[in-house]
Amino acid sequence: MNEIIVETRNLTKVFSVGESRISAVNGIDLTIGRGEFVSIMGPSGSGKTTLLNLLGGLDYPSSGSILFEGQDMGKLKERDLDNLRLRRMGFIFQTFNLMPIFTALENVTLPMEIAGVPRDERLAKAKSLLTQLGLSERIYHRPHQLSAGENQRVAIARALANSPSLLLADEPTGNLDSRTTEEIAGLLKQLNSEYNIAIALVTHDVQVGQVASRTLHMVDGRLQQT
Amino acid sequence: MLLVNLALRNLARRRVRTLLTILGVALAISFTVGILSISEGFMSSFENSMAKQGADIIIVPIEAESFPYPDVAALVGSFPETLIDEIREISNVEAAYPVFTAIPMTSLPDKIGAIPILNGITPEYFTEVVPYLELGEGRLLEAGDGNVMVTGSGIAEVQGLELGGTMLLREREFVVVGILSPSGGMDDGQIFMPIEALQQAYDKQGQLTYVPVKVKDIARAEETAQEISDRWPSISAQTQSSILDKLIDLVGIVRAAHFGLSTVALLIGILFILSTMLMAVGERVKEIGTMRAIGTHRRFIFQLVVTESFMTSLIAGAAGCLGGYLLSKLITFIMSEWLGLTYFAPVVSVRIFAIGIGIALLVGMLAGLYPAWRIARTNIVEALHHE
Repeated sequence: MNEIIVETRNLTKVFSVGESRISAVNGIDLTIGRGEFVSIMGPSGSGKTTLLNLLGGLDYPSSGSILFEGQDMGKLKERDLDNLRLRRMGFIFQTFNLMPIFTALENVTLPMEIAGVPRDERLAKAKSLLTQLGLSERIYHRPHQLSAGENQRVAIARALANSPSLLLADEPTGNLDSRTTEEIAGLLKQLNSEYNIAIALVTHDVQVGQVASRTLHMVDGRLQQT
Repeated sequence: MLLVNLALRNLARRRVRTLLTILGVALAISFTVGILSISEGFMSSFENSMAKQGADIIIVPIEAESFPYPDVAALVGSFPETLIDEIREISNVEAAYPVFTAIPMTSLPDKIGAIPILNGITPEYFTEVVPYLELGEGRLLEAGDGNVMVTGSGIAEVQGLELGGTMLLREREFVVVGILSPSGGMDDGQIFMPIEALQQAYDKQGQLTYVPVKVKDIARAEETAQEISDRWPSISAQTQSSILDKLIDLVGIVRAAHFGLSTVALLIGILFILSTMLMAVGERVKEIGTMRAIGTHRRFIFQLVVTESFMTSLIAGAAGCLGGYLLSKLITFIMSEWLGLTYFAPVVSVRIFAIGIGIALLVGMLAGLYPAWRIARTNIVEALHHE
């Protein structure tokens, strides 16, 4: 395997619901290498999204550890974890989660502005990404003026803005029609090989899952590798 | 820059709500600034007139003991003129000046609503009691004058009185022989006439309402005032300094009322902005969760909400100061044009504007803290799934 980007050891997440305890993620050992494209599939409630949230540092594990590029995420201060997400990870959501008050260009420059990238540099990078994703004519449009597929492409450009080493995509085609789903899946595959960026993709869609180089199945919080 | 840009965009996305919030807070601040400037103006003109008077002791009817001012005295009673000769015989009394004050409550026949204060005086009153008043045009009163008058500048303007013009008072015609320069005090709303003429007009011959007294030894003024009050139960004599102390107490009461008013404005403002900010952040939980997910620090989110609150209140504060200024002008206009109370000149000072802006900024800060704290501590995963 290539250089390891993220590695989990006996990763566990337990939720308390009333008096009962539910293990959403149950002792997972997982390794994702640089440039690897991994899809995580499984039925609803199997713990896919919880695993993705843990990998992205959006949630804290109940036990076990996550090493991101060699750093134990559990030992990072909140601010350092924020910085890790800002600079080393990109997030793609099912509902795009773009800022409605911003244009496509501003949505893409946002993570760079937060990271302190100079104005000219971030504008050039955002325009270049949007052009590459086929949105050169739409950069000044706001989310409500764009189609679902275009919004997801803006979200992908935003995720790539700070040149992360890992993209975390949670059902990125869940709100798209079949033709657009195919486009987005192909686009992720293309970006994976072009930028050598690791991708962890959670999906229900078998067709989308197949674009990954490795598919993991999750059942009751445990991984079944195929 | 990102902070300000985001805050402005967020405020602009719900323009009507933002404008209504600004309007609400601005109204509260307008009201405070307007009332403050009027009452400050009133207090300062009152203070100016009273403090400059050349009298050491003031004598009024006993009924006006609590408020020993000429206009109050005129409304509550009078005492015989013969008392003044006996008062002059008191060893420490150097001089006493008879004054008969009247307020034409029915207004002047041809100027409905304008109510001046009419002072019947002797000519030396100008030089000895109110030496700070300057003549604008014409002349002051002289011995032997009949139905003539010298008017304050404010009341002359409101009444449209000109030198040589006349004013009808209780079927007597008074000729304007002098108009005073503006003093910025209550004297601008007063008319001065020969005491006998005014007493006759009111059918109060031999009656006084007010006597300013000068003493030989100022150190014994309190003692002399006490002596006068004790000897004649129908009158009250008070030293100028004790009257000023009362005035200072009154100023203190007014200031306390100002503080109460400012606190009410502050609370109204806080409630307005707090409810708006809670609504605004409640609608943006998912967005803020996304911002946190892509690496925005918790502190930035906190600062963003406080900045939005701060900007709202700053705009409201500026609008409120302007509104308060206009309100004070409007009230002054009504007071002087319709009621003839020309000494209600509002003081629109930097201090009052600073109070208005200060209240606004405090409102912004306090109202923004809780919503900012609440949203900044939201769990990212929960925020991302918020609908």
